Amino acid sequence: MDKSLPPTAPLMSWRRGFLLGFILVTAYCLWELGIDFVQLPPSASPYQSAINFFSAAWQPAFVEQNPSLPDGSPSFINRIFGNLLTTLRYAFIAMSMAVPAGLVLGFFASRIWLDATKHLKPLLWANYLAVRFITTVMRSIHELIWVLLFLSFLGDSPLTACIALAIPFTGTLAKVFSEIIDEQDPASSEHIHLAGGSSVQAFLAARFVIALPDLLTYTMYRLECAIRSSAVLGFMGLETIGLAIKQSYENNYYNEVWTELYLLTITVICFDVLGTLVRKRLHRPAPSPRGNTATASIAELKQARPRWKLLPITWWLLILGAVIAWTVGDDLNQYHSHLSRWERFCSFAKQLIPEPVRHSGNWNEALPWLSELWKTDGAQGLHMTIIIATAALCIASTFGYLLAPWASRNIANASPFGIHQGPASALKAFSWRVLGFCLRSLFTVARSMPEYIIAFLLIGILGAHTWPLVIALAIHNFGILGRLWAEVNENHDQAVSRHLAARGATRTQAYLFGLLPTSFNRHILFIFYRWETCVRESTILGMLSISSLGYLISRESSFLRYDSMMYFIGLGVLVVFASDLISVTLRRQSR
Amino acid sequence: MLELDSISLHFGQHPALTGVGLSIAAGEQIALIGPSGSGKSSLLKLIATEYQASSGSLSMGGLNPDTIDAKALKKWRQSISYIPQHLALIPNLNVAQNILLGQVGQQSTLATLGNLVRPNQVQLERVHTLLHEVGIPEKLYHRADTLSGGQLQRVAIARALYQKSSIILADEPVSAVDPSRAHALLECLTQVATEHQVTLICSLHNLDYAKRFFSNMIGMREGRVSYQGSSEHFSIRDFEDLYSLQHG
Repeated sequence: MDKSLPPTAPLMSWRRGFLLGFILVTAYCLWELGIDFVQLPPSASPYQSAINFFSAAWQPAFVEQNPSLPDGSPSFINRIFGNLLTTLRYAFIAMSMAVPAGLVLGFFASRIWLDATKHLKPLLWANYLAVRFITTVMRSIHELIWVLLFLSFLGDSPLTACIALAIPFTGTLAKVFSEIIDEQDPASSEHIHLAGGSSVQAFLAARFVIALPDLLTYTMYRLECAIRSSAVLGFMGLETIGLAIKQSYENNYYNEVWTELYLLTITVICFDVLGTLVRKRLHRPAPSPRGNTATASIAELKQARPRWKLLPITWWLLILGAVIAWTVGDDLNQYHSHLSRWERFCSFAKQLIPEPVRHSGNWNEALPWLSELWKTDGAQGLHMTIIIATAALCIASTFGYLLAPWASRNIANASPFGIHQGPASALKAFSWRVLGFCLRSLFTVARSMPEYIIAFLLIGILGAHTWPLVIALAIHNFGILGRLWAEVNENHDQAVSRHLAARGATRTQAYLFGLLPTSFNRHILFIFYRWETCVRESTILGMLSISSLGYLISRESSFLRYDSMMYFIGLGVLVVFASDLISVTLRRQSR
Repeated sequence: MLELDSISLHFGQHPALTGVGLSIAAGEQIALIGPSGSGKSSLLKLIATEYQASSGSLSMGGLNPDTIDAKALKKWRQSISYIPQHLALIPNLNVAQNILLGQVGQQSTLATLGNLVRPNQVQLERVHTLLHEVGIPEKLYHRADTLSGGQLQRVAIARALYQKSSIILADEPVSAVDPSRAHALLECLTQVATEHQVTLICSLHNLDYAKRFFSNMIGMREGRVSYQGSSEHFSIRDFEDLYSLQHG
């Protein structure tokens, strides 16, 4: 028997390749950004700014800090609650447009129709590609840029901003809805086909019904995102809570800022918790009634049927919220301009023609103009956008990955993976629970705060340069990734970890050598998925006056140079398209 | 010596084991038989300390895993290898890495990490020797998810042996393989257990295998021990009693 060892294992595996790539990319981004975290004027101290700002966190304001407000002004609490209600109102209005539109587009963007009748195939493919293209363009442009665009050519009314908010949400909902529909087990719909049902019947009676819990879960998540985006609309001048934060911060009323931040965070967390409660109930059968139902009448059986009471209450409240948002409150379609909307639109459309072409009428001059824009600003803006997004994601992933296991209920527990570890003191068991709870709360708070607002606040402390944007984006993504990874840890098959823990492995060993290898690819999927989103976000963070595409877009917009603004928006769309494509390819690789 | 004294185990209201009393000597090879739901897996998991007894006591060398401190419990766990029904192998690690994880409870986290990334020659040779013993030496660097069911079971046996424990518990190791493979696998398992002088407790559904490969048997029914003795003396009547079959 030949007992010599076979040749050694291959040096490079998918996991090692990913880790090496991750380290190299992180190092490159950090090298590009430099280690100069503070860029304030020489007289300003970042420590003093930070102390002034963070010390106010313990003393949130309940009255106006501005001593010179005229009599009869609404009280501070009334004002910020008004801002909060406006935030919710715009979010509900945007979602009430995005959800039906997303459902319709998601229906047509699904791949399931491509297998239908052969003679319709070319038509169905054309429809599929067209809808996919439209939804990709819709979601590739960040909601704030849609708002900027819409406000430029339709004027600054709240309805315009809500429509602009609804557009990327429609694109995202359509994409995710179609993917959810595609991923459902086809067995039930095939059965309906075999029984003589049409494709539409099979879709409605099987696929859609099976997909409904996931569709509703995702809709709840998007509602939470819409509230965050609606808050950021305040930075565009709309009277949401973002405007209150911006004004209080610019006036150095830090106690007011903290009250507003707390209010926004609590609101977002409330919707997050509601979403979690709804998700749990949507994916778990309701408990059956107790007692003997064998002799009950149909009416009694209906009355005692297993059901979650929270679900209908939530749906009715959300529908009611949308109706109130549309009907109660200030006129949504306010318009204050000496130009009519049509005149404004025509003027905007005219400005879209490249400047040299506008003057000479010769389209041959467009190419040198484009090339000049690319050389002077475009390339640098694009480069910084990608660096900011990638650096933020690398930092967020590193910290999130280190902390996520200790936020997972199955690990941060006196009996990790359900395997007892000898007699544990009550204090030890309590300490583990507290650690898990604190980390989960940290993730929740980090993700509940819009990155735009975090960046705005950090710029005041660290100065206007790229690091505040990177840190802001990293904080938000740290929260998202940390929570997603903790959930993966909790829901992943625990068999191997249990086995290792029961064979004497420590908590860390059971995680590192049991859970992590089997869940690694799922963890990595989230990094690729977030990268595409980070690129979109880093585009708009530049609107806070730091060199990325967002800065160029807002600069051109403020000078009314809509032709070059559209060029930079187009560049942003291209980079999001490209990152989407790379992200999808890498996600497929890691499956 | 492994001692179980009036062990009961409940999952909520449902009793999985009731008053189980057993005494198993070192080096014994025992087949655990009984119908589905009779408590075989629960008993093995209880000995492996995956479950804690609701009442009664379990001890080995005078130590009870429910009362000893965390350090002693770790030692107890290191002395027992367990091959679960689902095998608990990591599909995207290779065979060598999976087997090396057999000693995870005896090493520090850093050492385990080092072994996984770059195992030393001595460890690799031991893993390779064990793979020879179970008949798949050529699979050393194959990913676990590329192996057949029978090969995976052999890897799980090799991992159990790599742990250098004094007891091996195997939960239905031949439930998913054809008769010829089952035969070869049980032969392999009992042979290596004899060579390494470890106690082997193996749950089985097939009475024929139990009689052929194991000198002693424990019959379980409805969470209780209904037979304990030599395989030779296990009669057809005992079998019918165990599976609640009609006499005559």
